[in-house]
Formats: sequence, structure tokens, C-alpha cells
Amino acid sequence: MINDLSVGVFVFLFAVFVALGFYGSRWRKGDLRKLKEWGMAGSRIGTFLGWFLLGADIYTAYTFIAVPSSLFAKGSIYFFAAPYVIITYAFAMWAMPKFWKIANDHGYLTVSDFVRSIFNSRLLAISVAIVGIVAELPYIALQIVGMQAVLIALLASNGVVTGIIEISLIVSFIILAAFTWTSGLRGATLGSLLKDALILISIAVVVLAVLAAGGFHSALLSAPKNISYFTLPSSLYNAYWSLFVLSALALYLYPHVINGTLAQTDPARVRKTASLLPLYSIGLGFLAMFGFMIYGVPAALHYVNGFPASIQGTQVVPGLILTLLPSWLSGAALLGIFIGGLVPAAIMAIAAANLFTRNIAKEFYPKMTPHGETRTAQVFAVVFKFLALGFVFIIPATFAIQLQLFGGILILQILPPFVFGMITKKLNKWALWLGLVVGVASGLYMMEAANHFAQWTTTLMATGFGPVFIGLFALLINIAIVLVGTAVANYLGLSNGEEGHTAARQARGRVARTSR
Amino acid sequence: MVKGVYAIIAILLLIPLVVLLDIPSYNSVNPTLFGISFFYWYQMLWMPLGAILFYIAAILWNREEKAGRTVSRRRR
Repeated sequence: MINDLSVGVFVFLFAVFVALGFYGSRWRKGDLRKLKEWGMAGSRIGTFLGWFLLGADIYTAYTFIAVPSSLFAKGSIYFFAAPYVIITYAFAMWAMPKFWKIANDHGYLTVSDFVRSIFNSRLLAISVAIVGIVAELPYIALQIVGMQAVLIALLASNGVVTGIIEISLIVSFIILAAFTWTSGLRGATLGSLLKDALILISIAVVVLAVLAAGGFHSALLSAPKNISYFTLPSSLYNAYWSLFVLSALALYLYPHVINGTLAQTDPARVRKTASLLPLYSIGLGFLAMFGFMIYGVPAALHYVNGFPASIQGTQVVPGLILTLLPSWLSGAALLGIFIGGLVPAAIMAIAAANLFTRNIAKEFYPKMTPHGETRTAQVFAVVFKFLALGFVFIIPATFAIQLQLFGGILILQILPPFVFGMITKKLNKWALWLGLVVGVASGLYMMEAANHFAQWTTTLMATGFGPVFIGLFALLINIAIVLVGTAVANYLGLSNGEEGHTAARQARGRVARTSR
Repeated sequence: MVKGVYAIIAILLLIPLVVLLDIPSYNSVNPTLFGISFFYWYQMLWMPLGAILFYIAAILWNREEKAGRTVSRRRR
């Protein structure tokens, strides 16, 4: 139920969240004029907070809004999110401690820093940075769609005029911008503690309430018959595994996840944190199932059906919360989802801004001072946030979800320079660059073709083996170009030049000397 | 030569992947749990199971790397 009490609880907890955000600047205090302190919490985050920080990186509006919304509309295929958030951590346990060590040894703050020096290519580094930022923006936009959905649930049913929702969003973004500016990643990390506590309690209560209301079986029985909810149609097997395997590879390529990893204190803790994150996925699993649970709760279904088709899906989780929870708890739960969009939006904007500063701005203004770097990142964190906000006001919500899925296809294209780069230095830089560009272009083309050059509604492409995730093909094309291109370059005797490794070694020498 | 412990780590990390890739093995309604299809609850069961396997792997791996570092330091 929603009433003034829910709104009061929502506003009160939001104030607590903001206070935590500003308090972040004093937590394990460092010189916040340094980029590593502001944008990475000075790598002072241990196992416990690291778990929550990575949790905030990973369980976002994607989990609360996009997955339940898709499962609600398209059925069991979207449960691919569950296996995805298990196996991604196996990859993370290998790749992330490795990258943490490399980054720490050589003073890298981003993937582009690493790519630039190991392959001796500014062009490749800038391209990787651009792909990272472009993939990140729709992810931020998706967070805002989630926050919007919460505000609609909280305010629209009280009969408040629609303009209020836009104004509330803008106000919360100004507050967010203010504390990210002062506290950087520290503020966002502390905020994520509150968010997770609220959300885990709410999930548990909703699940119990659905059980009490008649259980899951009746919900599955009441779901539309023309869409598969009970099990997966065998025609979708290839879609299912390609979605979960490729998504699992993509997650740890996102700038915000890498940034969160480097913010931790040491590689052993990075690995331990990743190994325990599948526990966190249990919440995601239940939230995904909210997508069909709602069919067993007539009041919630009635509420959702009151909205235009384009935003029905985004109201699934808010709808269950406000029909099944007492008013004070629904206020708290909605705030959990609200800051569940806000915290990741802050973290993503910080990561995109770090990338922009280090690998684009600094390439053109190499004389930038360390303090200048931080200032640039602070400014661009604000710019990216408001860009994404503007985006959401222009495009429909369902389209934002598809754009975020397309972002996954884009970010996969940096896998060869980043992941292969950690294994071998023998790949040719031009082949890597061409692979990246063609991978992105072919991903875009396949996305357009699969959607018949109309509005994007799917990331699956029809093949002789049933629908398959486009990201798989785009990545395979990319890898093929990298391998063939490297073979051709080797045959022609072209090399990447020597600068990379020696420069890195010199940098390591410098770091070692200064640290002594 | 790959040490035996790395083989164990690799197996621990790969078990959930192999299990979950075998979609036909869990794509059924029965046995249900609280009315939820096997398809859903079985995959969710692998979240805690995965965490246990991964955690053991992380402990083994971290210990192995720590041992490796002390050896190389002594050699220096």
C-alpha cells in the first residue's frame, strides 16, 4: 500500500542515504584531489565492503527492472540472467586478480592504460575507451528508467501530477552529483550498504507474501498461455546459453566493474569477493521470478495493467511491493530500488569519467596535472550523469532496456585487447583495432537486421539453429580478424614496436623507486 | 608443468558452467519446489553451490599464489 507514510519513510531514508554519501569523504580519509583516491577510494576497500561495492556494480536497475520486466513480457528465456550471474564469477576469479596485479605493478587505472602500453597503440587505447564510455551510457540511462519507475509507483498512484516525477528525478540527480563530487567512490560504496539491506529485506517479504497469497504454481498457471513460463522451449536452447555465457564474459569488461575491482585492497581479496558473489545472485533469481509471480497476485496485475503497455514491465516489481507490503515497508523497499539505480549510476559515471580523463582528455592534453585529472573526472562524472538523464526524457523506457543489451554487445568487443592482452603480447595492434571496429560495426548491423531496421526489441538473431545472441557472432568476427590479421602481420614482418614493454618496465622501476 | 592444485581449481570453477550448459537436464516442470518449476529452482540452487565451490577454489588459489611469492622472494 502507498500512502503518506510510505512517502515519509521514503524521504527519511533518502536523507539517511545522502548523509552517508557525504560522510564518505571522511571514511578512510585520503587526498581526494588525487584521481586514485577520488575515483577508486584509494584502493582501500576490503572484502566486506568490496562485496557490497561489487554488488552495487552488478545488481542494478538491470536486476530490479529490466530482468523482471523481460521475464514478465517474454517468459522463461530471460531467466538466463540466473546462470549468467553464477558463471561470470568463475571468469572474474581468474581475470580480475590478474588485472589488479598488472595495474598495481605498472600504475594503470583503466583498461585503456594497459592496452596502450602493452600494444604500444594510442589509437587502440582511445578506441577501447570510447567503446567503454558508449557502452556505459545506456547502462546509466537504464538506472534512471528504474528510478523513474519507482517515482511513478510512489507518486502517480497518489494522484500527483506527472511533472513532479521529472522534477524529483532532476533534484535527486543534483544531490547525487554533489556527493559524488565531494566523496567520489567512497560515498557510493557506503550508500550501497543501505541499499542492499533494504532490498534484501523487501525481496524476502514479497516472496513470503506471494507464498501466502496462493503460491508460485497458481501464478505460473495464471500466466498467459502463448508465452512459455514453466520451462524453456527447446527452440531457445541456443539463445539461452549464448545469452548467459556471453553476458558472463561481458560483465567484467564494463568500466565500472573494473573500477570497483581496482578499488579493492589486494588481489587475494578481489578473488575471495568474487567467489562469494553468487550468493548475492539469489536475490536476482527471486526478482527475476517476480516476472511471473505477479500473475498470481490479482491486485498487482490489475495495478500493472493500468499503465500503457510500454511501461507495464517496469512496474512489475514496484507493483508487487506496493500491493503486498505494509505502507511503511513499501516506502523503504521502493527507496531501496530507487538508490539501487542511483548508486550504480554514480559508480558508472565515475568509471566513465576516469576513462574519459585518462585515455581521451589526457591523450590530447598530456600536460594535465594529477589534480587537473581529478577535476576533469569530477566534471565529466556530472556531464555523463546528465547526458543519460536527458536521454531518458527523450526515449521510451523499453527502448532504454534494449539499448543496454546492445551495450553488452559493444563492450564484448574489448575482450580481445584486454583479456588476450593479459595472456600474450604477440597480437598485432592493427589487427586488434580492426577487430574492434568491425566487431562493433557488425554488432550494430546484426542488431538492425534482426529487428528489421525498425525499433529494437530483440538482441537475438534467427539462425538455422534457432535464435542466437548477436554478441556471440560479433565477438567471433572480432576474434577471427585479430587472429588472421596477426598472422598476416607476422608474415609481413610487422611488429607493434618496442615502446610498450620497455615503457611499462621503466614505469615499474619508477613506482618501485618512489615507494621505497 | 601445471601443478595438481591448479587442476583442482580449474575443475571447481568449471563444474557450474558444465552443469548449467546442459540445459535439457534441468528443463522440466517436475520435481517442483513450493510450486516452482525445476527449471527455476535448480538453477537457483547452483547459486549457493557455486559460491561454495568458488570459495574453496579461491582459498586454494590464494594460498598457492602466496606460497609462490614467498618462494620467489627467497630465491632473490
